[in-house]
Amino acid sequence: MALVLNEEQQLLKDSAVEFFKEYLPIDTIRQLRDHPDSEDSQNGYKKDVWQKMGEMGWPATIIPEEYGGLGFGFVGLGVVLEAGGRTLAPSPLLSSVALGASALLLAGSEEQKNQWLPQIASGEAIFTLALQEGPAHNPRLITTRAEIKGSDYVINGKKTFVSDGHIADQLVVAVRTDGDDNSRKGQSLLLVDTKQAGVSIKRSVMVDTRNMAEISFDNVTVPASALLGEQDNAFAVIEQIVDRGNIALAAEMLGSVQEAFEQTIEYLKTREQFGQPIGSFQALQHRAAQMFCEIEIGKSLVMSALNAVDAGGFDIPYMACSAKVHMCDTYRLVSNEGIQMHGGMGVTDELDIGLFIKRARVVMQMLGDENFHVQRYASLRGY
Amino acid sequence: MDYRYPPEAEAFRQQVRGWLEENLTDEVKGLDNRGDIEPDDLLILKGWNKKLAEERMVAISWPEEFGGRAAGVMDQVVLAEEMHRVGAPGPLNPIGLNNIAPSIMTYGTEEQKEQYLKPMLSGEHIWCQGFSEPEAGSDLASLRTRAVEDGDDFVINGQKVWNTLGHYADYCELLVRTDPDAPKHAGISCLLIDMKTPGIDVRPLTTMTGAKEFAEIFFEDVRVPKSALLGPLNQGWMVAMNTLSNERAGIANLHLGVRRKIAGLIDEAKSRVVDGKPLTENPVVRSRLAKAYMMGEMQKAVGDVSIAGAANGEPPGAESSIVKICWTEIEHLVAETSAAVLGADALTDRWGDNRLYTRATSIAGGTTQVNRNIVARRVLGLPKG
Ligand SMILES: Cc1cc2nc3c(=O)[nH]c(=O)nc-3n(C[C@H](O)[C@H](O)[C@H](O)COP(=O)(O)OP(=O)(O)OC[C@H]3O[C@@H](n4cnc5c(N)ncnc54)[C@H](O)[C@@H]3O)c2cc1C
Repeated sequence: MALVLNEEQQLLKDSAVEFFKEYLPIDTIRQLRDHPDSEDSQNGYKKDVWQKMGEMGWPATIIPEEYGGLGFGFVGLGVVLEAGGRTLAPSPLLSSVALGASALLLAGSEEQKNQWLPQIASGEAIFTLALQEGPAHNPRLITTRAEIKGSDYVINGKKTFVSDGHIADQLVVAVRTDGDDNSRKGQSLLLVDTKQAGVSIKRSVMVDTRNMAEISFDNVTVPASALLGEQDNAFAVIEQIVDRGNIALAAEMLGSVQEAFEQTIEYLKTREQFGQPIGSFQALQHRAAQMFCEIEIGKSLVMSALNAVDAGGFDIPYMACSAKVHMCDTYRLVSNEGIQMHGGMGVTDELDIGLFIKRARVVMQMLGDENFHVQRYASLRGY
Repeated sequence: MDYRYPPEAEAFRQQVRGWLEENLTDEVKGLDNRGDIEPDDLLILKGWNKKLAEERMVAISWPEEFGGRAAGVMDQVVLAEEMHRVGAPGPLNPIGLNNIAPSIMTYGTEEQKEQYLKPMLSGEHIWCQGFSEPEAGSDLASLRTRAVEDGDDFVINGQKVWNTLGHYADYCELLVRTDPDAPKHAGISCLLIDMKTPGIDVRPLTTMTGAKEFAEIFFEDVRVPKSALLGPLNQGWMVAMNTLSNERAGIANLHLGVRRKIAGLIDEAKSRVVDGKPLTENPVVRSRLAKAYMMGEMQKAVGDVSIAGAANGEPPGAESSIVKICWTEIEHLVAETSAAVLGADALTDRWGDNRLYTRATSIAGGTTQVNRNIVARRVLGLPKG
């Protein structure tokens, strides 16, 4: 396992950094926010740029070559997401690839993989995971039911906070086919086309101007071939998908944290008070040094976690928890301190730092906050 | 499963494992090679050290001519892990081997290398580092211990303090002021001195755990030959910085010890029943332990990446400061978590000592504040006040 990027990965990273600077600079978020009636804003992402991302091969990173992918693995996806995190680039990359493609790779039949993975790889089809019900991540609690009628499944229920749910073509829906609302047993995954009769999607624009959707299923009927993996036994797969999602999210957070931190350091060097740069005050220097230490740990953890996924090791869930918890703590610290160290400027909309804190608050909640993952870690470690 | 090691390192692991199985006796196993060592144990440890040296397993990164194996960073990690796994004590001379020897290799004359390196390796000569003084701690460059040239000799007067192993030491790497008129960094020299030289008085200092870990050293008209000089005259600051940066080599492995403590604490918590339930089911204890566990793994991740960087040929950067800061915070956290798990039992014995001992981690080898200064100024480029 390589814990430093090889040449190919470094090239990928460099081209991603350039690409996001050019096509999805941080002002994109302001544009989407300030022109709510524009087509881009309605979509919550820029279709033309997403198409270009497809041409660059980024949705193809984790998909093996036999399914039209590039076989770059999670390290490849991670460096692109990290680069995107620097400009808070809105795109369905995480939903469609880290969650959607992972679901197919982990549980899909050969037929399902052949049908969908090439379309995800090219960016033509957008996938996402419809898992959460209610305000907090809790993968055991699935009340959305799928009843078996003949050779069909009939789905009824509601999902919340489905990232990019309003633009997705296909949903990977976690449903209950058996058991109590809260049991691990009896969960299944179904592929549902968003244009299917009975699916209604309500978009909610979050504080970070990105999109989450509330999706209701009213007697949505899908054939037996929509089943992804085994019926009643999806819980383990769902955890694996969510682990990959969290690792991808941690990579994005790492990019955002570095950008917010670098902007803050730049300000410490240029803003003067008492006749000297404020960065010469030791009270600020030590806090900056501490943040830097946390970021360095974050880099190591994210790199180890991405590598763990590619190596397929037993340690993926541990790494997912640690990376997510650490990046939540660090993003909170760096976004709060970023504002504090900018003084009054920090709370204005003129600076980007406010955009980072908004995204921070959303990603910290997504797929489980740090309390969730600390508790989960204890369970994983067998106590 | 451990997938980060190349096959050669795994082959070396098997070799080490086999040798340890054959040679590690019960008498030696688990002995502590640091701090306050009982005289009987010291004899046993010296014997063990000699055996390790004969097998070239003391400082494997050293060139072969000095008794090493010219081994890379992966083999060093493997050796540390294997020794740790079976409770084999390391060599006796951590400061000499890790910090001082590399400086002798860099700046020493052929005679100095010949004279000092082999006995250091075998454990025959214990070394200490005489840098800090009562008035020169974080501000090391303000040190005052004087060495005046007199014919073929230097004559030394002054005092050092906090010298780990000072009271066991046969030799000392000593920083002295040789030019009082030069700017403070430019008037320092480094000497290698025999601790039995007349005029040296060593007084052990007792730490709050009761251990005699370090000493103060007084110098009164101590006469040493000019050949004691390590590196050029008045360029001792450069040598000292080299010695301090050598501490880095050991830093990537710091996670081994702290992770062992965390595992021990979790076992304790599982076995303690409160209100009919194991303590691990108490939500507060549970999340504190999980957080500590994660931090231990984080320390490992940071170490692994810096090892990978070193194996890739990248020069060591500020990560030594970073890893050091992180490590001390984890040591502190684990120490305080032990109180949450063990209650009053964390006031006695091993865990009690640990709680006290770990307070020293953020002071020894450069305080946390000084390391933050280094990160802020040298890495982040923030201006001086
Ligand atoms: C267990 C142990 C083993 C040791 N072994 C050795 C050894 O073998 N050889 C040796 O030579 N020395 C040794 N030392 C000494 C060690 O290097 C010093 O204690 C350390 O460098 C701090 O110096 P000081 O104790 O004089 O504290 P001071 O420098 O007086 O510091 C006191 C406080 O002020 C803070 N401070 C000082 N300067 C600044 C600044 N610029 N900015 C912000 N805060 C500042 C420090 O962080 C600290 O909190 C050892 C120390 C310990 C605890």
